[in-house]
Amino acid sequence: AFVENIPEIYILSLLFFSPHFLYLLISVSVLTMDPIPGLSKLTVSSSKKIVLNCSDGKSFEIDEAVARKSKLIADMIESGCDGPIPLQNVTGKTLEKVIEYCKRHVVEFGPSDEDDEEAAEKLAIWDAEFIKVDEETIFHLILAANYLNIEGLLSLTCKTVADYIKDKTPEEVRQIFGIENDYTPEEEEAVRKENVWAFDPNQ
Amino acid sequence: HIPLLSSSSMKTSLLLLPGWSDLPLDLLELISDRLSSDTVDLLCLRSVCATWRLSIPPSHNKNLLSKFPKHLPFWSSSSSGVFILKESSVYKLEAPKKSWLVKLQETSPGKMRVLDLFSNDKISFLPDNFPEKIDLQEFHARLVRRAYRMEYANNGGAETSCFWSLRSDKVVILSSGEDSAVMAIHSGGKLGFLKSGNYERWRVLGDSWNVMYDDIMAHGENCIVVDDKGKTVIYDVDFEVSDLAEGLAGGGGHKKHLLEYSGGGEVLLVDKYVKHVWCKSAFSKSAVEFRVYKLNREEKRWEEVRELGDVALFVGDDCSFSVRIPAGDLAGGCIFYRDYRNGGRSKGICSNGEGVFNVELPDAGKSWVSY
Repeated sequence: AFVENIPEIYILSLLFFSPHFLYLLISVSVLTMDPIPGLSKLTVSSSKKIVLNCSDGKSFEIDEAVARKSKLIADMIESGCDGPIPLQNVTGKTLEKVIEYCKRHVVEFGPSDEDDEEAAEKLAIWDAEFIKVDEETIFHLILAANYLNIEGLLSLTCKTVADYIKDKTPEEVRQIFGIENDYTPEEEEAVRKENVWAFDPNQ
Repeated sequence: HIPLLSSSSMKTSLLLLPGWSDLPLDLLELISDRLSSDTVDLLCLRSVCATWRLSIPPSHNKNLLSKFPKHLPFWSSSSSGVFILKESSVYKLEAPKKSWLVKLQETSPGKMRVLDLFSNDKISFLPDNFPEKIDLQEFHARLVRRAYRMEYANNGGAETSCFWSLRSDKVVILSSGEDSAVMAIHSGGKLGFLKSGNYERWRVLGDSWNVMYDDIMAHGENCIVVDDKGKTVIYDVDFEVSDLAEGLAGGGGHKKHLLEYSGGGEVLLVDKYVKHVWCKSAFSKSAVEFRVYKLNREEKRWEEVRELGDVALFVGDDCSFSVRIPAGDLAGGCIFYRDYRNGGRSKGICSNGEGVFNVELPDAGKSWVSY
């Protein structure tokens, strides 16, 4: 406001008489051109879109900030990759879910959010709902999170699987995950021996 | 990152979709890392299928004890003895029709010594219907609590319990990343600790001379300590201390025990009162009462708890814990402890609904292994 009120004639006359005012003029003009330095750059990059192509032909367009949750994609962008990014190892269905996770985890995270316990709790509740999917989806999510190198999602999926396994017997785990008992008779015997607890009161 | 199946094998195995048994090794490791605190869960993971069995090594070397040397120094350097760290675990063994609560010490892989729930005595006579062997593929063994203690051994190597040296032989192991430490309460009521990298000598945590500590407890990676007046603090592995609660009004009862509330991070304090009643007969009688408190972290004080609901508390010398009891079972809402007045038999007492636990429960000891 101070700057706008000074008529130009004053600036011109001061220009002649003082080098200090020349400096002021230049810095003032720079300021008026770009009120908050760097803001224009920021606005431009946050609206930049990245296109991801899946193994089954589906395509997704997302904000760069969301895409950067994946270290793999972030590295590709850093090394100058322009245009659509091919993701051979992820199907559209899985990538959609992954993008959902990334969107939620990018928008809410800001410099002040780290200390905000309430925000962290809300995020944890969202995560818990997000991961309530069938075991086949979790399987694909783990592989995708690993391939795309998304730390938070990998951690969430692994922890969820560990929670499913906790306090179960091997047969129960097989049923949950649809795994077949593929032991040879010798292996079966070795497994049986390992799973025995003997209680000897005379020890 | 291990790449997923190549596109050619994807085409040829339309019937054999990639399944969990094909999970890449590094991902399986990430999952097993999150189960590493429970050897039974790791054993289960190992037993699921042949591929997983190959990827997950037997867990015997993963426990916390391996972070410490075999012998720890005795309190005073002049002694000719050492301390040996021992681990025992309380498990809930669940078969289709019966559950057991036992404290076990693994003496060699697969061989379990049964210990008394409330102390470290060996149990010589197991109940008649207690199984001799169990198959972990059929029985659920749920870990309730791990307990650590120190046993004294003189230089001849013989292990004896040396109660006079320790107020309680209970020990807490703190471990965070690469650092680990051990804390214990000395017989004088002082807190001693050993830090990784310096196992030569116990150091006593500097304190006012008249503070006596009653109990310590592992809480996550930290150690909670309560003194005999109820003032409670928490230490981390670097021995940074913060206040948790001020002492109880009037100091409370005779012996305080710390407990973690079943499953959650809540901390409970069980305060034991031993009242002596003088009677007309020559013998004096004593009565044991308990008061239970819950930690109010915001206000930094202990709040009295009137009833426990469906949780039972077990108060022991080296390890106190809580378990959820199925609704309708008499044990719900009770405190179980070893009563040294009556030949050391374990007892259970319930609340009378007014916040004081002193109504005796008959049939204590039915489904856990204890004296």
